[in-house]
Amino acid sequence: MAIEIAPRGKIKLPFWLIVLGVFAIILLIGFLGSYFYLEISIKKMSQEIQEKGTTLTPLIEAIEKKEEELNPIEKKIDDFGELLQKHKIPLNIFNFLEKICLPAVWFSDFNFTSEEREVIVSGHTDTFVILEQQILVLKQDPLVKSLNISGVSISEEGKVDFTFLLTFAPQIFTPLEITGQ
Amino acid sequence: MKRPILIIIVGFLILLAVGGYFLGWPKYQEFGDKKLEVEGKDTEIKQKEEYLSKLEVFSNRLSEYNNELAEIDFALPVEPSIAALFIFFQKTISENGLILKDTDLGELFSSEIQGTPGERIQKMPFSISVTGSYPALKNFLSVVYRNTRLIEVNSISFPSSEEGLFTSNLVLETHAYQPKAEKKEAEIPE
Repeated sequence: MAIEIAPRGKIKLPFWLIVLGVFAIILLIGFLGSYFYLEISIKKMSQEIQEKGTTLTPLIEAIEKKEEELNPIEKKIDDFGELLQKHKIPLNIFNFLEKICLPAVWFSDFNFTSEEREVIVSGHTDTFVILEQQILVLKQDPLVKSLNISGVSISEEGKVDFTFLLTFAPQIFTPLEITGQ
Repeated sequence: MKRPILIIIVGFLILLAVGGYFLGWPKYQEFGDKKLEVEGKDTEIKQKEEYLSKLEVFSNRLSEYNNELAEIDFALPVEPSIAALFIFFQKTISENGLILKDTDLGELFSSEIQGTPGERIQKMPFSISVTGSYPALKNFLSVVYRNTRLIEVNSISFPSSEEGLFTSNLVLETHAYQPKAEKKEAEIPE
């Protein structure tokens, strides 16, 4: 008895299932492609970072060397500038006193301290009127910050003795204020 | 027959989504980070190159001011010569018609001057007494002021004199430089 094999019928898949299958395969290819692309790019970029690092090292060294060379000079220039700004011209005090001293007023003992910008100067004049005028002249000058008068007395010669304690404005020491030279 | 194929495809899609989330997304993030890192390095290199070229320009410009720098070095010497300072004063005093009566340079030799911590500029005070006329004193002060050593006149005092000559006491100050000194932070008490 002959055995008959029944022919296998063709499996017919619906269209949407084929589309879904193709879509899944495309997705898989896309995923694998992207994954390998990212992997290769990351490797390339890591190499690039390493190369840039080696470029950066001598650059940093050159900067450090230059800074080591320039920083002390910069500091010294700054320090010098600061010092120069504080550099005082004591001569201005003398020029100032010469300028404001009235003809009948004589200054004698003189004490000057630069830090406080203070001058203690003793003197004498003929009358109280002249002394008053001298005080007025000093008080009107913008370079005089404060004026204290002490030791006002009449000497044996009949002169009016006095002592001024003058405190000057900082501008007294600036080069522009040099007067009477 | 349709059903098992559908299950396989759906399972495959789920597997793809899970794989994408756990493998693809971290890779993408790593890629973004590396990209940023490369950009950062590029910017850093560019900045450093620009900074170095600026430093080169400064250095070249500075070399044009060698004379001025030498004057600064003279004004702020690292190892000041007290003998040279004394000779300068002796010369200037006599050149301006004054007589040197007394000097006190003791503090210039004191170890404290060199040892003050935290200050690059070291003050070196000293005092002199000179005798002479008022115009001579003014001339002397003018020369001292113009001297490159930046000598400060801290105080001047002189008494009255009828003869026109008087003795003035001057407290002066010059400077030394300690390039390695840095201003210290305030110490924290224990």
